Amino acid sequence: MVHTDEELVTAFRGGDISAFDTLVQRWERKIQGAVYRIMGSGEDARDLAQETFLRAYRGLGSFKSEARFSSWLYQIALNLCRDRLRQRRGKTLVSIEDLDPATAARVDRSGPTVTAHDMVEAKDLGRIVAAAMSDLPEEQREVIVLKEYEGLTFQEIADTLGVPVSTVKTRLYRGLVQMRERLERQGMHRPAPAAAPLS
Amino acid sequence: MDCSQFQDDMMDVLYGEADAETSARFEAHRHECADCRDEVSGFQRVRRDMQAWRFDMPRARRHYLPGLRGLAAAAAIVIAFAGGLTIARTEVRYREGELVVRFGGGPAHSPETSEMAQRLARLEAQQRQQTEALRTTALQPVASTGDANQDALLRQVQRMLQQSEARQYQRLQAGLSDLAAEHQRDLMMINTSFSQLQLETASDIERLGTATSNVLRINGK
Repeated sequence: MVHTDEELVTAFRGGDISAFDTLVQRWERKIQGAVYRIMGSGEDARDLAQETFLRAYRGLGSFKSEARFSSWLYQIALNLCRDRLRQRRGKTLVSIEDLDPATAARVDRSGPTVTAHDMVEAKDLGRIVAAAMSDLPEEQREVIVLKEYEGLTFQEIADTLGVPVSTVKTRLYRGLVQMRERLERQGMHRPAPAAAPLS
Repeated sequence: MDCSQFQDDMMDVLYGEADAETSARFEAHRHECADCRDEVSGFQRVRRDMQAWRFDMPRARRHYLPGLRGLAAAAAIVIAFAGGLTIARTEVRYREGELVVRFGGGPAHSPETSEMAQRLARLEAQQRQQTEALRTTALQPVASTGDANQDALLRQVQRMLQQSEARQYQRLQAGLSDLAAEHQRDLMMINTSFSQLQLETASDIERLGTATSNVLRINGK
């Protein structure tokens, strides 16, 4: 019988330690994937994923059942990513919402060191995408990772990030605009389908 | 035309979260706005391209043992190679600028072979000790936080990590045993091929010697 996350949390609080092990097995690779795409480093992904579960284990007693466990887990992971990126940069983040789109695109490029220029000869679409993602502002990159690769709904992303749904959609829109510009600059343009359905 | 008011609708429709009213509203706008039609097409291309960035990470290691797998694999290869050489009674020496390889010809326990076997045995023991030391170091007890409940939780987490590490170690050992056996089989096959080659070469040399003798005898007449 497959238990929901919330049932497993309840079981863990009731003393069933193995329930946490089940949660780890269920979410480990998802969290690793999200961290990997935000940080661009496999080593960071392993370290921060492990730290995420350690903090979750310690904090599960105070976890509020009204929230989704997965949103809470992603929140921990994202905070760890931001802390790690901040340590590397050594400066305070500027909120993208305070800036106009053109300026926002030029600040807070706190991603991994891979650049699109390095990858221009790579002829590997995956690497080109990774490079373009690394060049995005952190807030836009987070939203794209959670939406495009982790499949969270807009509401779940909003809950995870602690921002309104409209903010999530704005960040996603601006992120897609920038990704499109970068990919088309790398020659990734493909002919548009004649009448593609939107969903 | 101000399309900014339709950006949220566009995101909803693009990601399949639009209700019927939102879909109808956006489709009506898209029908009239070439810029939005182009933008939607562009975003669809971007989404397709983004799927090319695959994530394929090995399972998270719950212990910090950098190079454990590399050390273990290197040790297995050295041990398997040495074992294969010993079984095949192969002798490998570098002497006076010349590499000498002898298959099955020398005595089973020549001084050089015994010395090599002893050296390899010492290397294997050393590798095992280093591996065990790394495991022990990585799983040191967690420092106390001053809170009894927290400490109990952390000890519990550490036990879980140790159990996971033990399972992974057992799987690694089983895998290495298979690898070692496979290497031995490969080396024995190589040895058999070389032995066959030696026999054929010896046979050819003998025939050549016979032919040469015949030629010399004929010319001597």
